Amino acid sequence: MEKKSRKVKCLLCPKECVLSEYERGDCRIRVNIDGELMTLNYGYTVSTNIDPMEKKPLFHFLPGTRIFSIATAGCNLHCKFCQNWQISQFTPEEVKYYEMPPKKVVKQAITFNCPSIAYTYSEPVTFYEYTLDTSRIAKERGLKNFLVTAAYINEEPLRELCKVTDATNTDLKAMSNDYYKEICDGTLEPVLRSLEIMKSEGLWVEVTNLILPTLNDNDEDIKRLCRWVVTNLGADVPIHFSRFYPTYKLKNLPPTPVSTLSRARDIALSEGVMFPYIGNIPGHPGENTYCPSCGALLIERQIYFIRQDNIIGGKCPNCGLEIPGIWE
Amino acid sequence: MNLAIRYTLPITTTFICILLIMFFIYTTSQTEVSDKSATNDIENRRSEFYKGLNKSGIKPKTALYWEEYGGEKVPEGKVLIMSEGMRSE
Repeated sequence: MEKKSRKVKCLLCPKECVLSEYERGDCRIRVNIDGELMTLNYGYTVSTNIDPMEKKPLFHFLPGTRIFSIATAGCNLHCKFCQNWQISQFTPEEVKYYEMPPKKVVKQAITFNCPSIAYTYSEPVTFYEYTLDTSRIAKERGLKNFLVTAAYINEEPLRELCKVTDATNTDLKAMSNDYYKEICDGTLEPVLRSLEIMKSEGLWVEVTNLILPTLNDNDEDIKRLCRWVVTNLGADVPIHFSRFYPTYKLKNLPPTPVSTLSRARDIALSEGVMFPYIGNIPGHPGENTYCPSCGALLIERQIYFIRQDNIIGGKCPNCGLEIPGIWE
Repeated sequence: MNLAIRYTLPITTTFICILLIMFFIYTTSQTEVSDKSATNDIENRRSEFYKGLNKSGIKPKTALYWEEYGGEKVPEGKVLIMSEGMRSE
């Protein structure tokens, strides 16, 4: 087929970059090479770790197990508060990498006795092909796949990825489009759509909301976020209100006060969220899981570890209420 | 009067024709310059790109989810043109 143009349009994420030859997209990863869109981070991990599941955080999914975690360079958002900007805001050529093809990732996960693999730290959307191929092999070998993502992705590629993904913790950074535009260089609507798609495709969904002083910490912001989650995803979807620490381009802001996070948790409970959590404050009781019916302590957590897990067969041992999640 | 028309009309017509020819030559040369400049841009990007890529040892792989773009006007989007050694921040 004769090529009409050497320009290409990337259809992976809502930015839909149009690239002339040897231009690369906003993610820094995809390049137009002689009229063909190529990715530069397939099989090149910049970070590989075995983490406790609770670190992701994922609280209702195989608690206490270890998860094999990988990342590559690049991200299609540019959040001013990014905790991992050293890998997310650089090109693959600029960051030290390790060559790790999909089969090797799965083999390593099995070797180290990890029942699941997390695509995390930077943004799995920008290492989409790598995530997809690894997830397919992992699925065949009986492992579970988990995305830690901002979910800034178009519908078609997301649905394809959902076929091999079991769970996600998705950042819902705020319920304001202006916030997404000014702080993250994105837009809100695609993220909400992605969350609904992932839920409808049967993934176990948890949501993280990083609360930044003065930017998204007022009661109305938090209420709107909780209401949207309860209405569109369900009251049983856990929300993690996470503490911000000054970093990257927002070193001028203070850490989020503990009182703000406690207030967010209270608001969530009053809006009907069954499992609101507080993150990044070690030892806070808001890290624990309580039965939404009788209030019994179900899982007690300390930093990334579990001190006690009282859930039996996915149920509260006190009142017998079925606790949503994937427990075995 | 007739004499004036007889002599000035051909002169004016010839002058206009010369102007048109000059305009044509000018615009054609400008297009060539712009084509040449576009080609140079691509060549420069290509050279910078491979300089960085070869140093890193990364092998590109065909991406999923894209299409050839035939539109003349580039829609609003995001593009970064990175050169070798250029920090993105």
